[in-house]
Amino acid sequence: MKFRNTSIEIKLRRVLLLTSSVVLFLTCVAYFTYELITFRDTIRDNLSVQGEIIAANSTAALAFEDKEYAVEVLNALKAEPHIVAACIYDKEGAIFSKFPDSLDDKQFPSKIQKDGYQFTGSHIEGFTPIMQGDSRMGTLYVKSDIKALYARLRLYGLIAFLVITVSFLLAYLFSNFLQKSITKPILDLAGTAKIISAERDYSVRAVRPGDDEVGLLTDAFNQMLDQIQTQNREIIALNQTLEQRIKERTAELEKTNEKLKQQNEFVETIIDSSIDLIAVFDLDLNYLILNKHAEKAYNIKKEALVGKNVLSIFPDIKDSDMLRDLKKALDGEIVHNTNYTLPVLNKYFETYYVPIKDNDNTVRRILMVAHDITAIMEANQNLQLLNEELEKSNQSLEQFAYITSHDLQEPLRKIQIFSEMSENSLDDPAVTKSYLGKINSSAHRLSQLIRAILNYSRLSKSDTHTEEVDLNKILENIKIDLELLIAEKNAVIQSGDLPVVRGIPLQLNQLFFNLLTNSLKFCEKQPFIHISCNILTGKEKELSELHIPGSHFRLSFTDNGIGFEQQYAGKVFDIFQRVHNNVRYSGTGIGLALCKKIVDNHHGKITVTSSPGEGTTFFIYLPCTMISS
Amino acid sequence: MNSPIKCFLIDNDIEDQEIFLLALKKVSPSITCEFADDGPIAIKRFTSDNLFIPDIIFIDMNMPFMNGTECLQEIRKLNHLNAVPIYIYSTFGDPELMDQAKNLGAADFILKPSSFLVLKESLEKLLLSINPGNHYISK
Repeated sequence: MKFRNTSIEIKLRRVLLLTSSVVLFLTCVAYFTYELITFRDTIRDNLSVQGEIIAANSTAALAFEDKEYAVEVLNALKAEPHIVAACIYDKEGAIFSKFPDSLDDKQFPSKIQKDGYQFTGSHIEGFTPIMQGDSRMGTLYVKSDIKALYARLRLYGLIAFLVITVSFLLAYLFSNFLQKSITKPILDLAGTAKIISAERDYSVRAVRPGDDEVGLLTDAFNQMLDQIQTQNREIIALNQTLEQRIKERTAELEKTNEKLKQQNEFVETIIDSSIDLIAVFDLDLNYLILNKHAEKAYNIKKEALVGKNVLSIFPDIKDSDMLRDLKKALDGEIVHNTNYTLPVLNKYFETYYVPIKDNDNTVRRILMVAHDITAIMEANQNLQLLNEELEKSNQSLEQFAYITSHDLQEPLRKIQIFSEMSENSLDDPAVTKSYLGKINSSAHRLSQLIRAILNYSRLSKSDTHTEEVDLNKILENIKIDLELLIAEKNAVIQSGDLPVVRGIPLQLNQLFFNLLTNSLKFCEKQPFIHISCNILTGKEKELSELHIPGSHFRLSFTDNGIGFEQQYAGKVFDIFQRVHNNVRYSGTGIGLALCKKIVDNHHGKITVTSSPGEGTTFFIYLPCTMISS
Repeated sequence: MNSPIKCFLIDNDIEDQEIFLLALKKVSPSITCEFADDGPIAIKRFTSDNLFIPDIIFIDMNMPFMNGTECLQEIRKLNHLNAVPIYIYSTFGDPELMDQAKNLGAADFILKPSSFLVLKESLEKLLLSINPGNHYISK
């Protein structure tokens, strides 16, 4: 733990202990140093005094060169246990005597050095001159150990250690005791602060320990607590107000939200219940909104469309009205397309593209509303078909009107004229008779015409009951019907294999009958009639100028009759159109008109090629769907 | 212009031709009339003989091959007949058809009457109107 993070109690104790220890230690060191220095001087002084004494005593031994005496003098040093070696040099510097005697000469310095004593390592040694009067007789060398110094220092060390130890213990005890008066109030204050911060109870107050700084601190602390408490109360009150206001606002917002939600749902329900297709696009033509009906019509889930570009979903609209109209709407134009086939759906729509603008009049969205008018269009188409049929029938009616006023009028007029003429010629019975004959034939013709018209009008569209019809059988039956005429004209009728078809039997019978009668009638030589059937190849169909889709088969009726100029081919099928004079080839002019109507009723086409004197061929094209397997 | 009047009738109805001739003879026996049974025959007659110029031409409306108006158009293409009045002579005529005929160069449109006497009188009137003072008629 770092020092600054440790408790103030420990800090204070450490400070006290460290301070007292340092002071004590320094004191001891000073004292010790002083002792060391003074004791060394004492030792040197003592040794120097002893040396001078020995030197004075050994003057005589030198003067008389009495070695024994010299040894004796030196032996006096035995009393001093610290002297380890001593010797006397003579005037020349040679060792005269030594102590202890057993010691080798080499143990002594070979050369005499400066007078005086020096510490050398663990010893103190030195030289003292041996004087007689003013003349130097020789020199004394003494070497002493300094064990006494060491003993003394050890003692001092021990004492210092004891003093320090005891002082330290005492300091510790005192500090423990004394610091409490400083730390306790602080620690108490800290404890209180801790409690307050932990429990957030600002009503707690620190106890004032006295009038010192801690006391002042406690006062300040308590004062601060007061302030905090007051502020706290204010904050809490403010908070409560705020909370209340937030609650109210939230409730209000929830209410508005609910209202908006309901409104939204209402609008969505309206949009969804619309029978029109409704979609909203953004400026990049991505789908934003799509109603249920549109979802159903596109047969794509709303989620799969929303956010997608209309072109990416329906690439087919690239060149369509829809894209063009959307772009117009992007330019701010309201587009109303009354009839549009969505390439996507193959249905008819009346569409609106409405630019949705913001306040700046900038287009933000495009609303598309498409109203399905397929049913109306289909009804329209049916109506158109009906109309066409009606027009056709109107034309027929007009033709009928023309017929009644012209063709029927003609014989009638003749009857009137010939009646009048016969009246005027009553005096000439022969002439009268011829007029009466003309009247009769006119009347006959009139009745013939009326019957033919009745026949024609019977071919009404309502008679569309179809059944299987074997054309071979029909041909056989007609041959039997026309037996007499065939025999009379000695006619030859050949036919290939004809199909069994689904058709209106009476009408097909009439068709064959009329064509065969025509061939037999308009003939001056022996009639030769050929009937055949084949399924059209593509090229043949093209050549026949048959503008009806699907495959067809062709019935051909070829004769060798009188024929007519090809330029009148277009007229022969018109009602009451005759290409031959009715004296030689009496007819009503209705037969081929009937044939055309019958073929029309079977969704086919009839054409003719002819050449005067060569013969005529009628071609009847009928859809293959008519053929029964 | 006191030569006998020459008429020309194009009509496929032989009986009508007979009645027409009888009526003309009643107007004046000197009047002659030539007939053509249909349009093509008439055109052939006119184109083969440039010198054949009748005083008046009648055309029936309802004929095979070529109807009255078609025939009228073809004759009007022939320059040498420019001065000859052409009358459409028909059983039936609605105003539209009459207008069309007149626009194509017909002098008038005459309905085939249901009475011989009426036919005679209307022909007489017509011939007098185009040949005033012709002594063959007025006699």
